[in-house]
Amino acid sequence: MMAALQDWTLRLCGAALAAGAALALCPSGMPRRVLRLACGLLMAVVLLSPVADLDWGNYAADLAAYRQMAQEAVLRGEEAVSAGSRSIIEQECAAYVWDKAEELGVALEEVTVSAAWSSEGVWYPAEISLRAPAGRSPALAAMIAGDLGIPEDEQKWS
Amino acid sequence: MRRLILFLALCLILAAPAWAAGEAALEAAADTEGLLEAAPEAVSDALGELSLDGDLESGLERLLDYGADKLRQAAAQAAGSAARLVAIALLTSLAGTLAQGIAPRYVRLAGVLAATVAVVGDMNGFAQLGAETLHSLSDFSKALLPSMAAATAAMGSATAAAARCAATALFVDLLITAADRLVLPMLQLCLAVGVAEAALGEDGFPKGVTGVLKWLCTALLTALVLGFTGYLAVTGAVAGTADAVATRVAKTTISTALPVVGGILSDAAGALVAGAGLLRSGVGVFGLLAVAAICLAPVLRLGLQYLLLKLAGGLCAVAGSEDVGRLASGFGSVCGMLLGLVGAGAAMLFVSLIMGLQAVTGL
Repeated sequence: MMAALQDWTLRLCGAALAAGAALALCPSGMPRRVLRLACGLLMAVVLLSPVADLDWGNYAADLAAYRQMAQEAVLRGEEAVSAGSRSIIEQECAAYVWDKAEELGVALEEVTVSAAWSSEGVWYPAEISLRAPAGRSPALAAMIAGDLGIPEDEQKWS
Repeated sequence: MRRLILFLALCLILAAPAWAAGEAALEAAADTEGLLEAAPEAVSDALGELSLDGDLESGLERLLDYGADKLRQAAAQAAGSAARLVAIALLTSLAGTLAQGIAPRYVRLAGVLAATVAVVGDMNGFAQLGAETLHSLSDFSKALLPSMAAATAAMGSATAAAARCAATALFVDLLITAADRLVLPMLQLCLAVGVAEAALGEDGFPKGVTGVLKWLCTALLTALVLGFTGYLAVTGAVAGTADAVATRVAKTTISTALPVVGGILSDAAGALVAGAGLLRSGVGVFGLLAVAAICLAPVLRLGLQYLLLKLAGGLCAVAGSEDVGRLASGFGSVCGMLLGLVGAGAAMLFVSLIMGLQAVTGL
């Protein structure tokens, strides 16, 4: 920054000196008025010259980099929600099966639900593993198929 | 009805570990640990122990205490500079009164030189302070903006969150570049021109140069802040509509395709959105407090210096040394511009965070 400031200051001083010298040498009248206008324009250009020095190409790359950073952050958030959603759905579906098993008088030792990602963009219960001492319960199996949408082919009883 | 309540209660109890794991996943996605580590020293000095508990009131109380302490230091330093200028003006006026012939002109020049030497070191320090504050804000924003974007995206506003994060990062970068390449050099030039005007007197220097420079600085900062706010408002409206449409489509699909599981899916989504909402509030409130903590000491220093230099300018003119008075007033104006520069950077981050906190989600 200091180097850029020094360079800009030198350019301003040089332009001011050149303008001052030119005005001092110029005869009065119309030529002096025209020269005064030209010197004013010169000073304005030199004053705003740092704008022209900006590397605009870098800003396109910077914008792309910031968009990439934003997209990565958003993706992390969405992935966390997806993973959390899957976990909660599996837990709640298992809780539902435990509750229904108790209603039907079916003793269970373990219930594990596995969710899958649907084409509609949501997790849904796709498979279930049950460990029942008395073996497969047709009533419970039918309830699971009807209420949770898990077909009997995807129900693993042990 | 009783069975439904028992079922929901059982779901809540059995799903609690899953929700806790979900919250941990959200915090990891938002990189909350990295955010706390990225906070500069000024934030821990002001707020003490850093956390994302979202308690705005206690944070503001700690900020006020910190500000009160810094105010005393800033007032003492600002009063010292102003007092030096007033003393120089009094001595210059006295010496000018006693001098004869062409000596008063040189006495006036000596007064201006003495005033410049007395304050110019402080002014360079203020320019450095302004630049360092902006760079601190920029460095902290690189951790804050992605955290806020991740938390907001988790609530269903993915498009708006990404647009806001990218736009804020870009405009803060533009402000830093404008400050380093244009505003700070122009302010240095304002100081030099102010000294030249005071030394050469009213008729010895072209009028209006400092006015043009100040106008350029003000116009540039105003354009950046207004452009940023307008860009955020437009992209936020468009992106927010897209997010709402996507969420409405998802709701309809859940409700019709999976009747019993639909309730479970909605409960899960609601629980996660609630958790993400808490996280977003925590990150947003921490961000607001941290940005305020970074800017508080510089703003107090520059603000008090601006006020006291303007007051000193008036007092110097009353004391009979109008040149020193004009110089003091010019220095005060430069402090005011630096205050505006720091304020512009803080305003951009405040606007982005507040819009993120107020973003309405579809869920």
